[in-house]
Amino acid sequence: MKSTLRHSLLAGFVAALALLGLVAGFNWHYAARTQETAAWVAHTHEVRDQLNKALSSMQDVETGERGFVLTGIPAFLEPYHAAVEGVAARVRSLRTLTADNPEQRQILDALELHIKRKLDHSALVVQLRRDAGFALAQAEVVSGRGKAAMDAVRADITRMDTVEDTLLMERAATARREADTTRRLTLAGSSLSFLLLIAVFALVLRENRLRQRAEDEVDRFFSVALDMLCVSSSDGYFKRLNPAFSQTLGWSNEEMLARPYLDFIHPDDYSATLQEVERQIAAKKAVFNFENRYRHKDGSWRWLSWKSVPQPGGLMYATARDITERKQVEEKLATTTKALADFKAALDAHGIISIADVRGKILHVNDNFCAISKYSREELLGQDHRLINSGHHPKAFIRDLWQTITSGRVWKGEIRNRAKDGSFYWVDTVIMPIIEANGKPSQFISTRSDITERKLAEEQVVQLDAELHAHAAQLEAANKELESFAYSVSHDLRAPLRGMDGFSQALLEDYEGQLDATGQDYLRRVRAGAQHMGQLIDDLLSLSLVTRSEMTLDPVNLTALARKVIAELQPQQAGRAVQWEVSDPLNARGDPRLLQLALVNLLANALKFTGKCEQARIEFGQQVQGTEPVFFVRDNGAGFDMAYADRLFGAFQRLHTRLEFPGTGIGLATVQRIIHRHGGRVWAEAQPGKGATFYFTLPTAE
Amino acid sequence: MANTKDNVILLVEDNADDEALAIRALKKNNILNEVVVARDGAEALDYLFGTGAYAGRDLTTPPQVVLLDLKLPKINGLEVLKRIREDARTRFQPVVVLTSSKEEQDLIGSYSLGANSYIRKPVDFSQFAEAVRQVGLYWLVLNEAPPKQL
Repeated sequence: MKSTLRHSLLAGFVAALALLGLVAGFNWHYAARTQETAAWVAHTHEVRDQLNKALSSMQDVETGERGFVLTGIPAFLEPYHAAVEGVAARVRSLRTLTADNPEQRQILDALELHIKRKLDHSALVVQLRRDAGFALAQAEVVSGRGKAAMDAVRADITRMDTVEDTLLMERAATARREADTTRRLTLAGSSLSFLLLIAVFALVLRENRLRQRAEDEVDRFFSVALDMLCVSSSDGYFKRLNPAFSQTLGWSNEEMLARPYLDFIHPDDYSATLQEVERQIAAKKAVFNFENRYRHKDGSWRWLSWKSVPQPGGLMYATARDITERKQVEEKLATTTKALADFKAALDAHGIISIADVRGKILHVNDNFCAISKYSREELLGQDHRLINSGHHPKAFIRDLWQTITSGRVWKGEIRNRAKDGSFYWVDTVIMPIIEANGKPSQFISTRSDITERKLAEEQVVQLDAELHAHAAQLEAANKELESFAYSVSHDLRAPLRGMDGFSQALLEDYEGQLDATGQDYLRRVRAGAQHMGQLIDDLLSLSLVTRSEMTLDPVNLTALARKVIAELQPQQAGRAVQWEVSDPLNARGDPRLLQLALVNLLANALKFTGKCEQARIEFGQQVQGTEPVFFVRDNGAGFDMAYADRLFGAFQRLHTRLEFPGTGIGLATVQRIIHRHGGRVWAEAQPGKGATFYFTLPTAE
Repeated sequence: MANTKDNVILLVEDNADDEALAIRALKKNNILNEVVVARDGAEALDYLFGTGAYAGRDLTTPPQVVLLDLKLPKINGLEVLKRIREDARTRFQPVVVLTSSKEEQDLIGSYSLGANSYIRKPVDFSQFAEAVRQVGLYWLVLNEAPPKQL
């Protein structure tokens, strides 16, 4: 469009110039012709002048001749001689003037002949007059020969004059015609070129207007562009800046134009910027894509990304874009990316990680995966996860897993896999589906941790548990047996004793008179034996009860419990001086019934073994040994030899005779069982004759 | 002491020694009520419901008290107690469990089936006699029996 316009303008100008040239040519030509015509007019006039002069000279010749004839005075011959000379000059002149005209030359030749004839006649007349006198001369004149010659001369001159006149007329007409043509051509050419110039001018105006509009548009674009646009020059200054500069950097245009642009560039970016500018100028056509930092008026730095084109004359057209935010985003992205990478590294260091596509094809595995599966990465990638399937899990398990993850949910569970060497390993697995925008999973990321050891331990636990259960079952069976044994003992073993005691008593009552003292003593021994055995049976049952009974763990107030037991022991201390001292508070956790049984045994023991003291003193308290609270029951009774302490808590073990102190030897065994069942310890310290202290520990009350 | 013929004591006891001792203890304590002895659970139930050997017995005079041992041939004591309590005719029948055992299961079983008392037979006959005296005093003298027809 633009080049078409330019071509039109050029063509218009050329046409106009050509036309003007043509007109000038015509005019030049016309001027030359006019000059030529004028020359020819002058020529004609000269010819005619010479003709007139020649005629005049001829008439002078005739006049002189006649005067001489008439008078014979030689003075009359003077014009005659002058005229003869003049005629010759006129003829020579005419010959020169008409050299180019054959017709005139022909006439001139005739004229010259006629002139010679006339002159010859005149010379004859003169001769006659002088030599022969008047008459002869007069006769010669009257003969008319001279007049005829003169008439011929006149006719020739008239003819030449006419020819010359006709020529002049013809030339004038030609000159007029040419002048008309030239005028017309000049008018037409001038008009046309005028029109052309007007058209060209209009085009130029239009182009100018378009150009102005385009420039206005460019200016507007320059002003409204979000990008920073500038022109810089090789002297290091900006030449022009668009408003985006001040919007981005805070400086006014004047401030930025007043200083070299390097003043605004971050010192760290100086050399790089200069290098880049130089490189670009050297390369000339390079459009560079360069980033540097510019100082904002508020002191902050803005990252700019430049594109520029070097222009002739050291100018540079450049656009810049504020990429500070992008840089920040990039920085943040870099930080995030690093954090992610660190995170991934941590994950890789800790977990067994793989990524699979929706069909289960392995796309990625980490080193841990390779290590535990004993497959190389190359062997794993592209394979199905089934490669490491151990076949351990039922189909429903696998189906549930797939249903969970393909529906976009996270699956967690423990999986047994098979390594390349056929060994099995357990992994605690979390499979997370990666959900795409369409809501469907595209990949599955699995993170696992090796729980093989735990699983083995669990298997062992299960095995141990099974063994334990078996033991427990055996124990239970044994307990059941013991239970039924105890039941049977309870019912059946005592009945015969009742018979022995009852009928012995019946004998003593009903047959007292028939038995002497010894017989009665024997019966009493039978009864005592039976009763002791009844006691043994009862104690054994209570001992077995300690083992058989269900145990609870409740907070127990031992102080209250001891006081209750002491109250129940009152009948056995009748008539004795016994000082009871029970600390308050004494608390523990345990089975109240069993603890009461233990206290009964301990306190009854103490009461029994202080039976020979004048002043019995029995103390129930608590002390701390090491860090452990320990309960104790202390008496000032018979005590015992520590050499036998190991037998103290055995069933049926006694350190005193029944005569000294009655008893079955089961009480302390019962105490020990109770304390042991509570997870405590029991031991004793004693000296013969100086009393004994029984210590025990129990779970503390909370 | 009450000693009318009407006030029968039913002693359910399989052990002949214990039976003899119990009867001796009763006598020693001047408890002269007629003592009917059943030697197993089935016999006890026959007596109470007038079946078997006791078919046709007048059931309008129930025993004043049943002294029930637990470990019995055929039908054990707890089962006997259960049937007594289940039957409308005998559900208020005073039953005193008199046995060797003081095992928890026996105690709980007896009381949950509605035993009126639970006495453990001591080995010492003096204690046994004392227990029998007190049972007799309480159940045969102090205690008001339930109405005969309910």
